[in-house]
Amino acid sequence: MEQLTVRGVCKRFEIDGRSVEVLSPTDLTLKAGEFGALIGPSGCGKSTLLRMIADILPPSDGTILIGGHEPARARREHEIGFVFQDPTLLPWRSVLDNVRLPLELVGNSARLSGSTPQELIDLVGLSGFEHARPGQLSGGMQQRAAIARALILSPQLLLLDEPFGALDEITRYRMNMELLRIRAETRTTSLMVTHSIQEAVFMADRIFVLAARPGRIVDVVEVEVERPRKLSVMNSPEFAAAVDRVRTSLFGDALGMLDDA
Amino acid sequence: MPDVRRVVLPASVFALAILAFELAARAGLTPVTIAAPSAVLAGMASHGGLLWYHLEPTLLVAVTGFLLAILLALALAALVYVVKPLETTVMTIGTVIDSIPMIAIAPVLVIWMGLSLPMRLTITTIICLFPIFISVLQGLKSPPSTANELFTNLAASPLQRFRLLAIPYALPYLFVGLKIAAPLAILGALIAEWTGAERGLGVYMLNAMFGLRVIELWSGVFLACAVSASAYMLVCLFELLSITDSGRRGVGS
Repeated sequence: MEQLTVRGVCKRFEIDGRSVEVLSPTDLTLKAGEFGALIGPSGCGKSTLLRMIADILPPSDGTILIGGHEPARARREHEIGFVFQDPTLLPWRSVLDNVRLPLELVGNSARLSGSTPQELIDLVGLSGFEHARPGQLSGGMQQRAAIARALILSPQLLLLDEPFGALDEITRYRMNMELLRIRAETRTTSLMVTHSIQEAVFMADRIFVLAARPGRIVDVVEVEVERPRKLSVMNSPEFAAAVDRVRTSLFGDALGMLDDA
Repeated sequence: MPDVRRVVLPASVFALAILAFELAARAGLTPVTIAAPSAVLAGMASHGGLLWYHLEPTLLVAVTGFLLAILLALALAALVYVVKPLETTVMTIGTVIDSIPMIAIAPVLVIWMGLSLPMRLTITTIICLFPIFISVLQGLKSPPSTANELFTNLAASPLQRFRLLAIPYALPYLFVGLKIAAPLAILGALIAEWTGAERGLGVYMLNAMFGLRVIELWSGVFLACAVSASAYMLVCLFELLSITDSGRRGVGS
């Protein structure tokens, strides 16, 4: 069953009275429990697409369904978790209070089926840092807290906008493995925007490759690497094949040319 | 120890300046219009009762006017935050009012309200209002765009967004405004007294000026500076107590 359906969704902005198409009509689907990745150059509309799915930005046209419902309803019912590139923690709150924030906003109707804040803090590996302020944590640890916050209401869909884009490569690999481990436990359908081909292939079941001006999906790559994945799968022929396919879709025949046009 | 240096260096410069005045006055190098600091202190000690008699109404006006300005500024900033189209209008009117020299409209307020407590409070409140209002409004609008998107994603109500996001983000900005406004409150009270009053530090200083009583005049100056600096430090203390996250103190200053 399709957890996420995007049909003919496009986005146009008015700039100086001219209509600029940021994203051409786009289709994509994710089944329940699947992990999708959106990869493409800057300005290809991947963050815009993610924000339209999250009902943060309205699409200019097209249909989005999350578990069969409109994004507005899914958002109101807290079925969408969102992780930003910037951890976006409230600096005056402790880790625990940041993770608890969604529960506070929902109030008494908080679903009981979800995990407790402490369970999620343990899950993302922040045990012992419950009472630390965000300013006392490294970027990777802050992002762990942000992931815990995004999962606290047990959403059907987890959207991640370049969550590890600001981290160094070593921390990023570690966070990739952590996120795979967390997801293996929660089985939340996920869609992640990334700039890294390695990260996309390592994390995703399906990669949507986008091109810019106008933003559009130019290829959909199924990743056949089996789970659970360890860093060693990066040496497998399936991994190399997927990386090669994504790279070719991104750069076409211009591979090796210094041509940014 | 940059923190210690930040306090010690300016304090030593200040102490040296006072010492230089003292030595110059004792050596007879200063004109009669400059009193020796020791003479000023002695004069203040012997006229303690009279000084307090004049200081009390000034403090009353400054503190009450300051608190009124805070209440008004908070209400106005919240209103403009909620009703966004009001912002341009309020800012324009505020800038115009704020750019009129208070000493110029004080006489108008006097013929409207007489030489009264409400008149003195009005002058003090107007002078303090705008810096606090501007700071708070800027603070209410300071949450980063992703924080606003997070609250959208969490389907927060407008009230929750205001209470849990905008207000905490505005708190450090409030203190920036209060630090500007606290000394202005003393200034406002003094200006109001100069337009005419029976009691007050401003009256005391005017009388000393016209009577060429140098030591009394300098006592008034010293007292006004001391009260002004204390008001500023009191605001800093409140900031220290209410913002426990040191990284968020003194934003924009």
